[in-house]
Amino acid sequence: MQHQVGATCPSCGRFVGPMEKCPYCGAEIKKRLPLKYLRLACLVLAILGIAILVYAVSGAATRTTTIGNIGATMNYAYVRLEGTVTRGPSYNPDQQSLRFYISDQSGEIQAASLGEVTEQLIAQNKIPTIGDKITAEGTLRVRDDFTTLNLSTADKLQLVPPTASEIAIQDIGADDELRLVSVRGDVREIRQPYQGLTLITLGDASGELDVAVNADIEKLYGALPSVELGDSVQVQGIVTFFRDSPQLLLRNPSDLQKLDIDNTAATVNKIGDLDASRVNQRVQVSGQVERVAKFSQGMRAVIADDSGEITLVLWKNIYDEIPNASELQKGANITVLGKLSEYRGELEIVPNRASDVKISAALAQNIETPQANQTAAPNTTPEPTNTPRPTREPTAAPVARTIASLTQADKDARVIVQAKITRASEFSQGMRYTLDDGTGKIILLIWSDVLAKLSNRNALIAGAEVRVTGKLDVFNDTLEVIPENAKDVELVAAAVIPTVVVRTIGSISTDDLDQNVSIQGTISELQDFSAGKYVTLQDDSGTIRVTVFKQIFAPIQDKLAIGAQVSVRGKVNVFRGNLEIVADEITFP
Amino acid sequence: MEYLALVPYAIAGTLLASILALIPALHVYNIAGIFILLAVSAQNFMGSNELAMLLVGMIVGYAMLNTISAIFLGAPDDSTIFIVLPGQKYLLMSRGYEATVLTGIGALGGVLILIVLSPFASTILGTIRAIMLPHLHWILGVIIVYMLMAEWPKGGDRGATGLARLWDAWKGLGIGILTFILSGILGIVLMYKSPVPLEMSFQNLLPAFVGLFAVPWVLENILSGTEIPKQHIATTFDAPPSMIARGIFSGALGGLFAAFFPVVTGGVGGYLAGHATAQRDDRVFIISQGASKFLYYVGAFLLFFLPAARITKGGMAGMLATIYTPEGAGLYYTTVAMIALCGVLAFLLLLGYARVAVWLVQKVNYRYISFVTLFLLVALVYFFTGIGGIAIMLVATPIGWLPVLWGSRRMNCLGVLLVPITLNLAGLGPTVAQWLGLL
Amino acid sequence: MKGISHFITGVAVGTFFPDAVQAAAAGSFVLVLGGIGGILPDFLDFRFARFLEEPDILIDPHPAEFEAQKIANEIAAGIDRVGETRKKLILKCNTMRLGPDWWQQYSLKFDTKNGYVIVKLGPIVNTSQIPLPESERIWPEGRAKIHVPLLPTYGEFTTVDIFSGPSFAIEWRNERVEIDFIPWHRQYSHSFFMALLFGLVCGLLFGVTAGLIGGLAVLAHVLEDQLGYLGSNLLWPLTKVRSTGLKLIHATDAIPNFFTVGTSVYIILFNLDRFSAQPILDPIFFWGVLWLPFPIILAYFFYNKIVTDRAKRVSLLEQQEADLIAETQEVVDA
Repeated sequence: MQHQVGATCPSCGRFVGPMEKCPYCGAEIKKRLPLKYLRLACLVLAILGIAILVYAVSGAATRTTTIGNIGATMNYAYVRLEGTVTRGPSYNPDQQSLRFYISDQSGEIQAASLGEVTEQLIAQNKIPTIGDKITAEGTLRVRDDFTTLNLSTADKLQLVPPTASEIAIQDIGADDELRLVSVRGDVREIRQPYQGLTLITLGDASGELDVAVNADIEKLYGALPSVELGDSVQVQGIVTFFRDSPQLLLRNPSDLQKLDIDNTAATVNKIGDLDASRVNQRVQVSGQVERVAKFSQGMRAVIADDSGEITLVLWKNIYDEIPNASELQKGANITVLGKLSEYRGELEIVPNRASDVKISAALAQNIETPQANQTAAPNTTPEPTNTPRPTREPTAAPVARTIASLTQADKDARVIVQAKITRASEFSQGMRYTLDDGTGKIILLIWSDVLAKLSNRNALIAGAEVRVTGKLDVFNDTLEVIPENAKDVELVAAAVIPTVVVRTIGSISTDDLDQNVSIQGTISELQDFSAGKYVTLQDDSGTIRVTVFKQIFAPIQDKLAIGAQVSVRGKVNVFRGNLEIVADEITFP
Repeated sequence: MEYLALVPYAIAGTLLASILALIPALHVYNIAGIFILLAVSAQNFMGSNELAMLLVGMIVGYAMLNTISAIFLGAPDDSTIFIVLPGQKYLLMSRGYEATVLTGIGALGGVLILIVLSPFASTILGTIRAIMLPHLHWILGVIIVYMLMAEWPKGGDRGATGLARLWDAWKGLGIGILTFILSGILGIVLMYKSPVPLEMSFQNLLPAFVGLFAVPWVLENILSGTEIPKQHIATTFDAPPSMIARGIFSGALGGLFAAFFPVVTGGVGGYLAGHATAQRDDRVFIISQGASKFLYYVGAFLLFFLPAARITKGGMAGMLATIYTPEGAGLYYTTVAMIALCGVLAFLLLLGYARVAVWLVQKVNYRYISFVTLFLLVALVYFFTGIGGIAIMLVATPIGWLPVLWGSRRMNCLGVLLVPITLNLAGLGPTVAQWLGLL
Repeated sequence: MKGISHFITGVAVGTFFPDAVQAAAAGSFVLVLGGIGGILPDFLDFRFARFLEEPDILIDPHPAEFEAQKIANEIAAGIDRVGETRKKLILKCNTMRLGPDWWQQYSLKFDTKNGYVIVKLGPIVNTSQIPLPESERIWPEGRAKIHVPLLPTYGEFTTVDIFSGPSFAIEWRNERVEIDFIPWHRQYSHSFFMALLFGLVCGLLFGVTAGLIGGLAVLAHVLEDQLGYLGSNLLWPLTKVRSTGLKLIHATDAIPNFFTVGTSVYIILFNLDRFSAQPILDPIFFWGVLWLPFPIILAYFFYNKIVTDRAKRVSLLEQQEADLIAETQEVVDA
């Protein structure tokens, strides 16, 4: 058996391979290659090399780049970024994840921390919040459709919070976007458009705006201080724009502070001092009611003080909520806070809330009925002994009429109309339905207070047949029938809802754009975004992304998990070139 | 029908890979990296589906054909080596061609396994992934511990005393552990303070892998003086069907595990599967390595096309994911079909190229080939990663050479991947980096 | 069983602890202790005990000058010495390496029926123990008489060829000389004591659950080894002799190893899922359908084994020795 020189011991002839000393006889082996030294050299070089490398790079600063420079070939790069936090934070305590967006002059990128890094950030009170100037280090994850900076450690994150400046609400403009401002006002409204977001409407003398409080902020910092309607508060927040309207994003619940002063909203004005230059400002006037008149959308009253007169416009929904609305009569004392507006050359004051109107009972005897401007058919009206509202004139028994027979001359008549709903649309004060009985069309107008009392309002959809008793009115040359009570709207026949065909995911295409579809599948991926979740659904035919806004997924978020089987109903949409479905409803079969 | 237009791209990829696979130590990821660079810099370079299929063809070709350089250009010298790997054994027994074909048969088995499993992958993998996702760190820890604890000591048979024998045995084991630690530190450095230019970060590991695996191998070839015996081109091969089935099955287990599980490479998967199925026969081992290697490379890439899963495993998928997102089941099954087509094509090419390799090694001193290879490797590293990459390669080379010279396992060099990623998954990466002064 | 079978069994044992699984999901490495415990007994034997054994009789032949008679005489003399002095002796037979892949094989046999030690030279083999064609030389065998009563032992030749050669403990017990094959294996390391010790160490360092996982993983290894032909010294240090196992499988049987690894993987997946916040596996489908091939394959294995064993009638000692040899010979390793 042939071996290389050096592979056998020259003394005993045994195979020794790479050994330098024969293990059998102990003889030294002269090798073709100085393996012993090569081995040692290799060992020393390996250890030294690593030591030198670690020493050399440990002194180097982490490389900085701009967001615009980040490209596909920078995947896994460890970089430093500098910029401003423009969105977030979005906090998931279950996954211990914190996400926010950083923007510099060249672009915007999502940054994220997970697990222990999130805990460190919270413990060190280094939660990147919108408006903060930020320097962050992390590893870039570049994918085709998104890029993220994954933070490695909280120690390398530096935040410089912005400085707040006091500003009046009306002075907030586009240039103030992402600035930290401080406003004072009183709480006009508190609402939750969906779970996870609280909107507090704040009003000062110059106007109103919404303060948005994200539930993630409360998870991170604690609950918002308790405020009630009318409380005077000072709020620091970052200016952002929602549908072109400015709003303030609260960075920390403690940035909302209650004040001890009263009525920051508006100063009491003399009516005579009000002029067109103050249109759109919020003003407060006090005076006496001179006249009251009803109109199709609500009530108008003329208020006078010793300096002048002004028209008060009360929309129906506001009027109906005023506890002592019936006392709005000539001679009553009234204090009103509202927006000054101009209509056909006349100044008007328009309150937004019932609480802005304070009426004390009229002392005068000359009471005019609210319907003084309206005509009636007294010869045909029965005795009003049983009418529940004594201010109303006795009304005629409603008569069933076809739509075609109704004309503007029948204005104020009470009629009964039976027809099918062909269209439904929502407006700020209620719902409008288009009714068609085969002879013609008419608008059914249901104010929100009546709508709220309708038990079967969900059934009032296109295709349903209704019988409505209501008063005819004309608005913008269009006939409307307006029921006054929920019992005046009767569902004769529910709409026949076509069976929703569940489609395969693979069959959904751009041809279905804006169509409502129903799909079933298994959740394969879940990804948070600022307003909800992206849910990737798959079935045997393909995959599709479903955009689920917070208000949809909040009630079911415990069930939304990878591997869950769901049914989704929603509208087909294209977002950034990708087909998706915006979910209206998610159920679990 | 639009998918038929992608066939030429896949075939072109396989043909391209077949040429490149003959260059020792040149990895398909490097070539893919060039294509990605071109795709990023040149807007209308190629349609994205077309590029994806080109890469599919390339990786199929590489996975099948890189056996040739591994077997024919890695002959050891018994002055420098104490353990001969099975493929090398066959080469020294004039049966290098047979070893190549056995590997190719294993890879063909891998093609079949992929086709059979492709309809179920989504369901099975989705479930397994959901279960394992929070546990990746300790599973990797388990793999590391097994790799280190299961390494067999070489030596220790001779020595005057028990302690002398123990030392003799543990020298190699100790070097193995040291190799793992040093490569792990290298990996941590590359993760946080890599000297590779930022714009080429997607090739961060290239200089490390070249230094750890390729350069020591090439240096060994240059330094050794083995004469390769005249090779016999067999017309039959010595492996009954049951042995082939065993080899493919064992390799499939390891390859599929490596294809799916993060960080685990084909070598680790094949190693684990070999132990799990108690292999001893060289032929079974060679066949299983062929299947394992193929399933690792190609299977991992196929997962990228799995509808809704978006699994990015392996260098090829990682690179392509930065510029492309595959959509739909149609593309997924098209990819499976391309794999089948290109797999068969690659096997046929393997038979031809193996003959060329036989001719080559007998005509040309492979030392010269190794010199050229070394030059190519250095040029490649410099092209992609500049001076910083060369520095990494120089640091990695002695680490990668330790197992060769001391008789320990080369797989320990995978610490460059396993250590930083396991630490990161456990949330300890930055802490250790801070200890090293990197953060 | 193979190392990986023991290792993964140890990991599977750990996953039965819900708090360990939940801690693991939160970043803990506690389940790795299960794997370490699973492989620890063999690790201690093959990385330490094996090298620390001091032979009293060292057979270290030269391939070119193989003296079979001398070897046989030396071994026989050793056995006789044990019979006279009643003191235990360790006999170690070294291999003869000819090249990176070549070994000169020789074999020895204890012919207890006739009272001889027989030594023969074999062919040259490669590391896979495949003989080099035409390498068997005509060489005189060695034969030496034993003069003391000897327990009937493995009646065939023990080959000494690759890597590390076997060792034997020659000991006077029960009024005769008894020969234990590879005596350093499965002693203290494969005892209940070791399970307790490792469990205690883990418990002191990492807590009660870690201690339980470590101890039970070692115990699982020990119990798995009882399935073979050679058990272990379960009650070390109270006993000195290795028990006989249940004789159900050989250490290197592929199917039982595959069954063990596969079932352990299934157990791990199942436990990780059922202790998670939202389990998704259906136990009935998982175990009743997906796992079903494993017991079927195992049943098929046992059926074949029963048939084969009946036909072969291999002695217990032969089976034990074959197991030990297989365990001490390395798997092809890259």
